[in-house]
Amino acid sequence: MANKTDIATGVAVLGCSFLGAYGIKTTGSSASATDSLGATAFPTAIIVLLFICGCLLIFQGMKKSDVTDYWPSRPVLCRTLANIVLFLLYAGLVMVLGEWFVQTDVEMLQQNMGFGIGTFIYLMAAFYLNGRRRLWEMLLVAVLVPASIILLFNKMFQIALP
Amino acid sequence: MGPEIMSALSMALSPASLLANAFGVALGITFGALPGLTATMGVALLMPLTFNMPPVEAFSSLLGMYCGAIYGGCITAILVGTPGTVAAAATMLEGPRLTARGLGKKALDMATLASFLGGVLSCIALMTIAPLLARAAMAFGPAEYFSVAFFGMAIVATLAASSVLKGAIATLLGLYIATIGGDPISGELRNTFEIPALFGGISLVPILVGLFAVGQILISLEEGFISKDKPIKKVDVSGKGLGLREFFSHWVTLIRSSIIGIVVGIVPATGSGTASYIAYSTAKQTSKHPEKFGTGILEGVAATESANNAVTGAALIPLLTLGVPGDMVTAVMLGAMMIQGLVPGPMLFKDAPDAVFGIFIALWVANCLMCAMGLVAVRPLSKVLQIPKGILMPSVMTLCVVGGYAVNNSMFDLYIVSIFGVLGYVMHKIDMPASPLLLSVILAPIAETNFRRALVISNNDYSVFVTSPICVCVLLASFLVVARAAWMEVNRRRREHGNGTEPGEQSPDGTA
Repeated sequence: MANKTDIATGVAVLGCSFLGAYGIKTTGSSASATDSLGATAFPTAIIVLLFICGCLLIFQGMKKSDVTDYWPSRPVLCRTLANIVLFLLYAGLVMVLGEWFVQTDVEMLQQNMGFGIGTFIYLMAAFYLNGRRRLWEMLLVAVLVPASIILLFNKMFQIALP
Repeated sequence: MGPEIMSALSMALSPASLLANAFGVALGITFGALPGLTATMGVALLMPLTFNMPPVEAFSSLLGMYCGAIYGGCITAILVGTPGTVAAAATMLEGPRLTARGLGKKALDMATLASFLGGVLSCIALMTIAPLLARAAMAFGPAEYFSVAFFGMAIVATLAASSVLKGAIATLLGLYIATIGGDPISGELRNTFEIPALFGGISLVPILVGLFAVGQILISLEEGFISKDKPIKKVDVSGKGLGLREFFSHWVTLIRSSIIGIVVGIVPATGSGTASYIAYSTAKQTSKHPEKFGTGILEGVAATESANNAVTGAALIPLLTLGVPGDMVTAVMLGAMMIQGLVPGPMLFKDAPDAVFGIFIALWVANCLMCAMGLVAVRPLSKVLQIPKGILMPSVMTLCVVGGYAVNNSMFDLYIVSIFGVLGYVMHKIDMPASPLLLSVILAPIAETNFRRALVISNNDYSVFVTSPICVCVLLASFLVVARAAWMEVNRRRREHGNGTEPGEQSPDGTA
């Protein structure tokens, strides 16, 4: 039985090697008399090896091999995907809210308000998605976490937050 | 050296450094004990807090976190049979059985004292071997540096993966990612896809936060769904503690396992998980009663815990002397060193001796604090273990956003964190290790720059890599490591095909 995961991984690796080759194509070679290799030799060697490894993985996957299914059931995978999407939305939300608050004239809102509100919204959604249902518990943690991060990172250690 | 040592002592023992160290150790033990949170993740997420600290203070907290997390993994391994970290996986072979017999407190005390002893011996190794190696490394030329970097990549690609091919792919992906940005010799932009944000290359911190924090959290959340996010049951830590006489009765195992940990730690790109398994099997082979191993024996806990904590100091040796990390956590620390303006390598001992000695002393302090906290903190920790993953993991995820952003204050880095987070999750699912990718991102500039520099110096004479004895030995060792791993994999596959074994099927002789 073919190992579909290995075949798909091999195809993805081939895709990466083509993408890498495109990246190298946009780079001019700077080989000189002293530095005979230039800027593109090392990445080119990597891409060639990556291409070979991708082909080998596809070949290995097509042969009868030990198929280990690392993927969870569909409902679990859907929830994991939802977690990924939620995290991407969170990163985006923090950026959008941050920029929006910076444009306001109120100084208090300009400092960490985007991060605070974005984190609160993300945490409430993530807690719900991950099976938490006690509202007081969710609210308490969703308020305490951004507040302590702002206090510790920004106020105590002067580290900029998104 | 006198003034440097005094200066280092005053820095490492200042109230701020001690506080930072204690904070790191406490956080580290918590991170280590909680399944799903790892030492690498802890150090990566603590790093942004250290950006504005002086170097010794920063490393006090990071080393505290490192020692605490490696030790903390044993708490859940012994009490609930779930290793908090990979380093404690071998401890699980004995720990839960001891707990089941009402000897949980004794096992924990043994783990704490063994970890302390391993940590102290690794500090001694660090303080004696690192300056000697740094002096020897002064004679290293570009060819030797290239061979050491190549060795590191060969080791991690073969040891970290169940398949050599997948390890190689992860390594190559990391190498390519490292080439994005300016060429280290000519400065010419390459592989940037004409995206301005890539002109400066991809920073290390967002990559490691994505791979080792976001990816790991996604995996933990998924495991939470599968196990219905049941909190860890209440643990019983009552019972009689360990007497000093009983502890020292295992002194041969403790010393031998610590030495194993130190040796494994010095080898670039290996880690505490490997050390503890080697120490466990050695202890079993040399024991007067090997049949008792696996039934709940204190000697097994002594072996694994002294070995995994002995890695902590030893892994700093290649990092400080050659700039090559000894394991994943020290790979993260390499990033922290660069942010602090410290360039690891033999010159570090000349340029910043007070910082180097400060790091040595901070490691001693971290081990003492770890021992003290370990002996008293188990009861409060058992309450932290009750936090459900559904609450804990999203909360830690918010720190990933902070960690990814804080290095360059760049929103682009948040995209990188997200991309590598998803990549970390997918790599776990396709059984491809993430550690070769990260390590090759770190080692690629060392390998490429020194390879090309060696050729420039030798007028493009490739024999420069086979004329130096150090180079020949290290490159030969690298090829042997790869060849051995490939040979073992081919044999394994041949055996499986010979048996006609399908996944999950039992072979005729009953073995899986």
